[in-house]
Amino acid sequence: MKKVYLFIILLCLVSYGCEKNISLNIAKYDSQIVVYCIMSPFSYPQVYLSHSQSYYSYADTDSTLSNTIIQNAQVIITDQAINKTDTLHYDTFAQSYIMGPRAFNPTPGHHYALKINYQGKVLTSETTVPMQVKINHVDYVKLDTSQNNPDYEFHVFFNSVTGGPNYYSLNGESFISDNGVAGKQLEIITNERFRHPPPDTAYFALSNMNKVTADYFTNINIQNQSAGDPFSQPAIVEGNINGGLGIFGANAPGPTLQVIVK
Amino acid sequence: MKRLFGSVFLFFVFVSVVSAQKYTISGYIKDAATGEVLIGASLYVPKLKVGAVTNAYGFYSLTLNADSVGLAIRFMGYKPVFKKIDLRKDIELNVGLQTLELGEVVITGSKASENVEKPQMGVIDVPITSVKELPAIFGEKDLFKVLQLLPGVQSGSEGSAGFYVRGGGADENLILLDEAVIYNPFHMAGFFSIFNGDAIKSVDLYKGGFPAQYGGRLSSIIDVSMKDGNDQGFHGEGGIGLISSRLMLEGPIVKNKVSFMVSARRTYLDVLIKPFLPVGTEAAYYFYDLNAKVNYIISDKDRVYLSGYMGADVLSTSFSSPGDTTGIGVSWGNSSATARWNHVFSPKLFANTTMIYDDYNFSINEQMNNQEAKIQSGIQDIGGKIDFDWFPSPLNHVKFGATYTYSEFIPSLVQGPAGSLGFANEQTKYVHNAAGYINDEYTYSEKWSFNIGLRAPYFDYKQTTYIEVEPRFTAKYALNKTTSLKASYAMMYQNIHLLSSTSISLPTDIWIPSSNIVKPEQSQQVSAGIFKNFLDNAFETSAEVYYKKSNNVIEYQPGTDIFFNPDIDNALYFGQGWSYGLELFIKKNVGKFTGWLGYTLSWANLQFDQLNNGDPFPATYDRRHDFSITGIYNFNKNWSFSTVFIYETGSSLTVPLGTYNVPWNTNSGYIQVLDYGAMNAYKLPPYNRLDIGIKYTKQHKRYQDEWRLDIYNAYSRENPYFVFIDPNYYDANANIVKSAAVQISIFPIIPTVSYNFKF
Repeated sequence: MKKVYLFIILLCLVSYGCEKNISLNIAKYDSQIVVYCIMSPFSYPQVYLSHSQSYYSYADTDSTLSNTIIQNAQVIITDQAINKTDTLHYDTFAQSYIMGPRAFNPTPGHHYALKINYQGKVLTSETTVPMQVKINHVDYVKLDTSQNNPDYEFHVFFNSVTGGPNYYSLNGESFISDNGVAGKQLEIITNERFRHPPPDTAYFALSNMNKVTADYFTNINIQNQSAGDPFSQPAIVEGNINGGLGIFGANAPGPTLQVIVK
Repeated sequence: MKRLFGSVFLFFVFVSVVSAQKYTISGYIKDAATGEVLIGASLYVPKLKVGAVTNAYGFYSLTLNADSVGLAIRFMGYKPVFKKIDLRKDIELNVGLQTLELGEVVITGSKASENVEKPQMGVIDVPITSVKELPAIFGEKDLFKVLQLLPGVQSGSEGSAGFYVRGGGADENLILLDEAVIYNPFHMAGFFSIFNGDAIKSVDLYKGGFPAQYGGRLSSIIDVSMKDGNDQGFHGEGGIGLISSRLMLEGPIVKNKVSFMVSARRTYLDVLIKPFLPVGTEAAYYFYDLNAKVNYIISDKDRVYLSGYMGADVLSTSFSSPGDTTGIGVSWGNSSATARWNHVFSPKLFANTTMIYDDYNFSINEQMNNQEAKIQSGIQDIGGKIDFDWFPSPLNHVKFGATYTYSEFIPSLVQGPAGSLGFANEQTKYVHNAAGYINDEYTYSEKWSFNIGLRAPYFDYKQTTYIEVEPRFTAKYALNKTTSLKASYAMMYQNIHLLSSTSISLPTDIWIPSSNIVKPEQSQQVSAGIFKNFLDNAFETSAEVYYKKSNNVIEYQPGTDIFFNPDIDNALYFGQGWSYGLELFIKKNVGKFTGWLGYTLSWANLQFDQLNNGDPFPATYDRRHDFSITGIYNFNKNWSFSTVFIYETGSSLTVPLGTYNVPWNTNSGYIQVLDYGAMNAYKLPPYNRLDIGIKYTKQHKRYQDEWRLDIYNAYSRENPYFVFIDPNYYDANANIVKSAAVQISIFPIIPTVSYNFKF
């Protein structure tokens, strides 16, 4: 019986450990201009502009989003390869700045400059649209042949682009880099394993991004996955906007490949 | 530079040897009552103003002119012994010192003025008596929690035994138990260390000015020696506490020849929790420690020690339903074995040869309906070393030696039915580690003395070899008998690295070796200080400043899975760190009131190209101010009072400052992104705590018993264990859900009664 009392005392003491809301002594947060624009070949650029706000006054509602959108800025994109400039205009439906009649498509290998004027502030950034990449071939690989119910996975092969480093994403999943092996054939093994035997049909699309874009997307994913985890290391999302937050990135998706496994 | 260093070194030895005298006094200094050798006991010849200090095995050697000399032998807490010696031949002199009478309390084990006289700085002889006397959480006396009270040593999170030395990371501390490396010195997610105070004889903490016999970590060396065992009589001590009990027994197997010590500790939370579990469910958690040592004095020239440690944390649970039984067991722990042979080649040359085995193992077992799966990770070391102490003259104490260790790193070994586990084995990594060193403690004059050393580590893994050179230097200038100025320089390399997924110590933390990608971490530290004793060494004081620069320090990319990652080397960032600060220390050694006061003013910063836009940022445990005070007051033979007070600046934290949305492939069409601003820019609230201990001791005819009341966190301060950002915090007062910083505090006021005995 004495042990029971001891245990109850111990339990009470330990469970007295408490949780409380503390106010962080953070200086007043100065809102910043946020830019989001991913340049992709054969699609007109869209530039989203908004204000950031203090995290501790944030409420996740539609009105929060619409209240932070910036509609009256001057947004200019220049294709430095052909020395062509376009001033984008705000589209209420798209809630972003889009190209005008003299629009130009982002072209692989071209370098672009972004300039934003808003209430006396000037934001700038630059990016290069990477080259598109085609898939060479796809292997359907059977794993653990000793098992009655084996796994299957796809191995996707492609030639990486010279120069770089480039970052490749298969079907929007995590990136692999060709740093140090640029120009050689690379292989991506699908994250997902399949338990059912052939026949099977799958679709693959390979995207090529520059480093800053790949890092931006990766860190947003990590931040989102670790939200609320008290022990996780914070993933800091770093962009490439001088004078503000966000990204002026580039992504070159390749053609989608249909694979039929017989 | 290396050539110059070597020339200077040889010059010092040569100059003193050519003037060396004829005869040598050598032997061991022991505790007369227990036979334990005394480390750091001093011998002094007032007439010649020369002396010697016993080494880690209690051995000394002093070479003098043929003469009649008076010899004073001293060790703090013991009655001094004065001998008159007619030195006409080499003399072997073993001396047993008697402890001071009860009531004449002392809290240190070294020679009183050693801190002023020795050309060594950044070293603290941790008082074991303080470990036992100071109040502790749940009454569990903990060596590491006492280390945290010393200047230059920062604590981890609330209640944790983890520590950070002079701005270094948690993995930059080399922890040695009888010369074996302890990789995970913690129990219970870091709340307690593995060191059971009953089994410990001495602890030295080096945080700068490292002697050349130590290496392998950047920031500190904690050298723990187990008790040898009483060779005069059978004794024991133990205790019954709130969460654990312990027992230590020691005694002679053959009096004056062979002695033993065994010590055990085990928690009993598993026993206490059992009645409260639902039928069909088993759950248990406990940890234990076993220490054992045997020492055999073969002759005056030869002595053998065998010592071992085994300890583990065990967590298990099982639940069953009709036709279905599932059991999960998680265990982690260290074991080590050391065999040492001391041999006196001549009165001037002492050697210690050591064989070492150590093992850290973490495993998860899952059993489901007769199918078993196991995941294992760990490190195994087997190695040997030989260390020589050469006393060519009273002015030189030369240490030299070599060490070799073969290590197996098992990142994750998976055993189980094929296809049942979703991750693959990682290759075991085989590593060769070796080093050679030489160190001379040279007394140039009454005012000047030096400690000059050179260590050359060798590391080999997978055709990647690193050979490094680490110069070490300390100079001392005595202003007078009680005051000295010191300065030191040390270079250190570290070839194994801890990857920790959290800010607390967990068994899933992984050690990895250097490779062609992971370069050795390196640090250079300079320090300077003034050391002054007052009132016949009753008070020790010191003020030290230091600057440490580290290269190739490691962080891993956010979101990296460190436990099952065959390509972990490529998921790491490599950067640099620098720390600097001022440490003040005042210690009262003798009298009814003993204790110390420590204050550290420090900065610790890191820089990685891939983090924080490449800008420097504060380290997590960059605590600007760290103040601690300890006191033990002995009212009389029965009653004593002890207290600890700590105040330290909060640790650093990266918190979101702002937020925004960007288009994303989600149902809402956008995703919320957090703007963190700079890394570790926010400081947690300061940590402060007062602990109180009251002890009643009663001496019986055959034994002594002791009742203790320990009050941890006496004013129940809600210190942060951690702070996290909750995006969906419900504010009950405002009845809204909002983003908020939430602090978790785990230890309020905790009174504990414990019973200890000694016979």
